[in-house]
Amino acid sequence: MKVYRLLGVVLLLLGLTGCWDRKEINDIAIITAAGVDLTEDKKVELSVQLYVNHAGRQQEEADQTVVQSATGITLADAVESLQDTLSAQVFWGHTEVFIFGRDIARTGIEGHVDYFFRQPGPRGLAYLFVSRGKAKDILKQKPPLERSSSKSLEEIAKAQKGEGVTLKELAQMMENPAKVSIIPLVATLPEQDGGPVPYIYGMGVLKKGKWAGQMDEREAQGVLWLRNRIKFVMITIPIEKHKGYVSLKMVRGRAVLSPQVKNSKWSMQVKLHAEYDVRQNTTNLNMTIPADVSIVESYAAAYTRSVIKASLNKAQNVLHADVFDFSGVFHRKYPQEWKKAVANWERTFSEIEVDIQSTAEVLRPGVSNPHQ
Amino acid sequence: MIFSRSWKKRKLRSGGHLSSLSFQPGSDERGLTPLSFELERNLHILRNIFADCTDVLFHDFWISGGRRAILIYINGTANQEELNQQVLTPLLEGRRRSAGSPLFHGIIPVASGSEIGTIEETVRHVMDGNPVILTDGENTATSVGLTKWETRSVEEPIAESVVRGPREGFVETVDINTSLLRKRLRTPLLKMKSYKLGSISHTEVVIAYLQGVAEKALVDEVEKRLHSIRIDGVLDSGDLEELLQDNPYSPFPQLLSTERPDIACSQLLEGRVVILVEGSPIAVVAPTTFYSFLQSPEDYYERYFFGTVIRWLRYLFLFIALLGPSFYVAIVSFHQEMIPTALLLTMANSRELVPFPALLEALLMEITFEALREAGVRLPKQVGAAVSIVGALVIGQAAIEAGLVSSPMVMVVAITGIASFIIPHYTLGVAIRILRFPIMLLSGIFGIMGLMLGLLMLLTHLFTLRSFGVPYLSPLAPLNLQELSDVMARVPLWMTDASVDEHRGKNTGRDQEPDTT
Repeated sequence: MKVYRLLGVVLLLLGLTGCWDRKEINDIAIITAAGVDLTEDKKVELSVQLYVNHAGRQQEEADQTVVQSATGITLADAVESLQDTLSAQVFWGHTEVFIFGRDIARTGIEGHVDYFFRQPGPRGLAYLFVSRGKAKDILKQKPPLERSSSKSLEEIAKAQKGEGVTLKELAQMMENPAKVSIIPLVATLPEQDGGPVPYIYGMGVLKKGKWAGQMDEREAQGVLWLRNRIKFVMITIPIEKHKGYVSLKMVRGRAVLSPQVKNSKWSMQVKLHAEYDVRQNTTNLNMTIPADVSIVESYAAAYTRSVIKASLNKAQNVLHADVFDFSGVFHRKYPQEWKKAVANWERTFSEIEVDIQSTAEVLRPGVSNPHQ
Repeated sequence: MIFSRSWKKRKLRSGGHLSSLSFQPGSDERGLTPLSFELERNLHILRNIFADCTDVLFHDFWISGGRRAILIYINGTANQEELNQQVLTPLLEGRRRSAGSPLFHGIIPVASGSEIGTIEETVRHVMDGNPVILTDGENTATSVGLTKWETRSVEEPIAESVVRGPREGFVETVDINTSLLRKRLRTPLLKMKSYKLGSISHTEVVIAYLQGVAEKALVDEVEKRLHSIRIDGVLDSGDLEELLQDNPYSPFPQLLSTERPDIACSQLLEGRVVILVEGSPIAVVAPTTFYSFLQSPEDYYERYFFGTVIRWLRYLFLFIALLGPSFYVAIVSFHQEMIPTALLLTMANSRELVPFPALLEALLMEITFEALREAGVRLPKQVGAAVSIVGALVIGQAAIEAGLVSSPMVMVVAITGIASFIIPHYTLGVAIRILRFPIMLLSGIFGIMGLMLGLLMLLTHLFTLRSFGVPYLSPLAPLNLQELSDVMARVPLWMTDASVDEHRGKNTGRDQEPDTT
């Protein structure tokens, strides 16, 4: 009997939680994407893409999402203003995409990311982008294939190239001592038949959360390589000697970074290896002849090398930003030296000598040979 | 093994045995009244006892040799033909015999019967359906074993039918039931002990067990519990189940009930005790574990692969039956972030029109479903099937269109209903169905935490539950790896102790060795 009394007490204690936080599905405003911009008077403008419920009304031709905006001094303030205009409770659990406008990226996104990262509501695995213009404009688009631009962007970010950066990854990058983060850049393709389409056109570099510069597609690829997160890119290499191009789809890409500190000389040896399938061959090479395949392989290796070089050049000489997280690599191998150098990392990084060794292998050259 | 740890003796209703009949005038030191040599004296007492029992007949006749005798029997229970031919005829026409010798010696060609010496025994024998003969000048009566109660024939059990396997089911007469057990286990090791329970009903209760296989302590415990029952009437094995179980407050059954002799025999082979009750076609088995209720004989008669897979299906659906609606309510009310986005948007659409919160909707639907199921039990057979299918579909659809419930909820309720049917034994199915509701309430108030709380409380109860001392959840808790294989899967027979002789199938042309078992 004592047990039952104790049980009763425990159950009564649980009554303190109660069901006051029960929320019905139609009482929540499902936000599928959010964008943060800067207004003229330096205030934060939050735009959210809301899912619109069409029960009982016409399903066809109806917009699935609608964009609503609100301003505030900080992001949290803006969210409050937004809540005032919404009939349902703001719900971040399904926000797949966060976009920061270029203008606000220039002033720094660290503070705004703090809002999203602090609460358990917003997803840590949501993708982050910086837009060329205003984030609000990207959100307003309604692409033809997906239900909303947020789904479009999410799918593109996931699309196996390794470009997507999640909220969690960004927060981690902002934590590391170099305080350099990368974030994909998004813009809109000019009007196609079905409507405007968002796409990723490069990578933005942030120093301490502030916009520092950008890297184009090729340089961004180099970043992915050196961070060892390159996935299934497709490269098209010109082979002038044989009058044509070969398109190769990557099956596997691996980078091994070996740091070295000798007599306060910092260097890094980078070994890259990639495996490709041949997708298209417009040269007069014959893919069924191993000798010809070797030619393609050597060109592919050279291409990768040039990509890395371009990337390194941009990072070291133009931006002076350690986008590759070399800091982390050196920290793991040479913790003492690193500790001394970390205060001045930008300078040290820009002077790291990188030795690139690149190899490529064609796995499946295909069986067709149009040049009989 | 401690058997009676949690069982307490219970005293019920009016107790005592034969209270109305004891202490007749002239009773001896045991309280029983011996028959007198004078027929009239015996008759006087017996007619008093059987006053206003118009179906108890007193047949007056003269045994050859000129002595008066009375045949007492119950109309409709004695085998009339045999009675006339085998009892009355030899007595009326037979040769003389000396006074005092038992009638059976050479007079009545009936295989069973006994000599009785007291009034109380006479009454008992007559009440058991045996015709009793009292002779003038003798102080013993003869009870002839010629009962013929009306009984149902052995048919396929309705509630436990199988696709493959025997289709015999127990009937209401305990003698036939014991014969069904004997038929399958033809060994003198199969012991059957008989008891009479109920001060007014005097119901025959038979305990069956395999000596050497069943633990003696278990059999003793069963007997001990039976002996301490004080009740006026036992009408069904269900009454007995209630009186024998360890924990009367638990919703879970602690004794397995079955209508099939093959299941009873397999339980006997595992060392359990089977209890048969006169008047009930359902045998009760002690002890039992939770997993027995999730096993069906078909698992064993079909190939092991099928048995294993179906068993896993049952375990999965057991959880769905118990937790399905609770999980849905919890997720929809509190944890919408766990729903895949595409599904959430569709759900938002369908829930837009529904006025009730998810918990209320779930309770409404589940209660309606239970009511429908209960009503379906009483429907006449022809109407039953059609109404259930049509009823379910149409009512569901109409409810959605009326805006009372949402379609995901109907889906959840339907799957839960199907899941609860997958439990082979009705008693456990009922327990699960009822337990669904408190867990639903908890999860509707506290979310997933409430669901876990309810589940924890349930599991705590299950882990401490015992059936005749055996932990309810063994062999999972406490862990017994050898027996676990039969719970997790249906282990094929050739993996168990049963073996197949090496020479099987090889036709060597020589004579086989004689079987030496």
